[in-house]
Amino acid sequence: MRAFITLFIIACAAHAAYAQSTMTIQYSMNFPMGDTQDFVSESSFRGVTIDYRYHITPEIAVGGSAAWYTFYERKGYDTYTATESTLSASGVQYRYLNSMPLLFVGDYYFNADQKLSPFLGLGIGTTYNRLDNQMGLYDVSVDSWHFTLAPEAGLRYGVGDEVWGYLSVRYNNSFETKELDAQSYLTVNVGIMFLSGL
Amino acid sequence: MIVFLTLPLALSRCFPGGPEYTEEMDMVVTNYDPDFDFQSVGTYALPDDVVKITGNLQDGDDVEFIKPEYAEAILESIRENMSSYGWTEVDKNDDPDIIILPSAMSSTTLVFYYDYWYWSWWYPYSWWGWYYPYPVYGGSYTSGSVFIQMTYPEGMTAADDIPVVWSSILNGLLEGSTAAISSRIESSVNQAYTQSPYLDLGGDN
Repeated sequence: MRAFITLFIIACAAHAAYAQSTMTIQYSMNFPMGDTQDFVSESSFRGVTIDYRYHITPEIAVGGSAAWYTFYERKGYDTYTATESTLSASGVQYRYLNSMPLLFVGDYYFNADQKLSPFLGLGIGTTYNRLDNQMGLYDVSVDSWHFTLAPEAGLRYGVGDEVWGYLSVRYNNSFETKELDAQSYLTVNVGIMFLSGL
Repeated sequence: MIVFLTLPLALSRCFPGGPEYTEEMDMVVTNYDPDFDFQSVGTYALPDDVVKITGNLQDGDDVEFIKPEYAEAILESIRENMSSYGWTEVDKNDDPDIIILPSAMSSTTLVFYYDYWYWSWWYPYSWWGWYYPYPVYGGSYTSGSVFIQMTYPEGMTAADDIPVVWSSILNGLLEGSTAAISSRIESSVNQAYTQSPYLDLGGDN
């Protein structure tokens, strides 16, 4: 949090020096971790991320990120007994996690004037998570808005004057809420970044 | 900026996959009274028919029964599993420890509770109601459900309620041929016993 605020202040101070904005559209693959993995262990290949950045200097950019990811796993026929309960239920389960992170993001680009430029970033914001567990004819659903921290590392590669190829890895860590345990997953983004008129 | 924020929102929630076959919708739920000692009993009685729960039966009305082919699938599966777990079937008038009440319903909204007059044609006692010493999972069933309840007449309370010491709900879609449905019913009854090992009295299973 402190790092993000510091980054933001530096960015604002440098505001007058440089102004350029980019949009990035990404295909996102997600790999569940922690409690998320306990619920859905299969990797997700249904995801899209859209990022906007305002470059205050060539090296420093701030902006936002919005995404939608869907995790799915079919659990074979099995018997489930709730903890400290006498109730047992058997059936095939279809488990889903739909996750929508909405983040403010700050990035720092190394070698920003070069074709190949690695970067580090930190996202802070909220994630809407909805878990669905369908068993038999019934669907149990729990949803929650989490506080999220999402560090990120990546590369951009210039393929034209105003277009870059884009690759990043982001660790989405959504903290525990009253309704849901902490949810976390690793996102691998592949996409295109281009200059934006916004 | 607005477009950028709302595009992911505009994407509909994705629910890929899902069941492709009718049997994948089948579910078996069981519950029991943890304070009841199943090892202390050994005999049971079972009716010849399976009551069809209609939800609007009044005291004095005639009870309906489900089709014989489905009833046979349910009753025979119960018998086989009870025998496998070491239980002995006796006549309802021979003082059974446990009386099993199987019932079924389809396409009707009903909470998992049924009035005693469904059983007045058969139940060998005249002063009962039911009570469940564990949480009962009620709800609406818009498909096919088979209910199996084990009642313990000796546990009758001062309020004339008889405990239901074990219950099972078999739920699924009533789709397919009679033979296919009967086969799924048998599998579900078997599963109800498989996931209830505390009913095992040390039989020959």
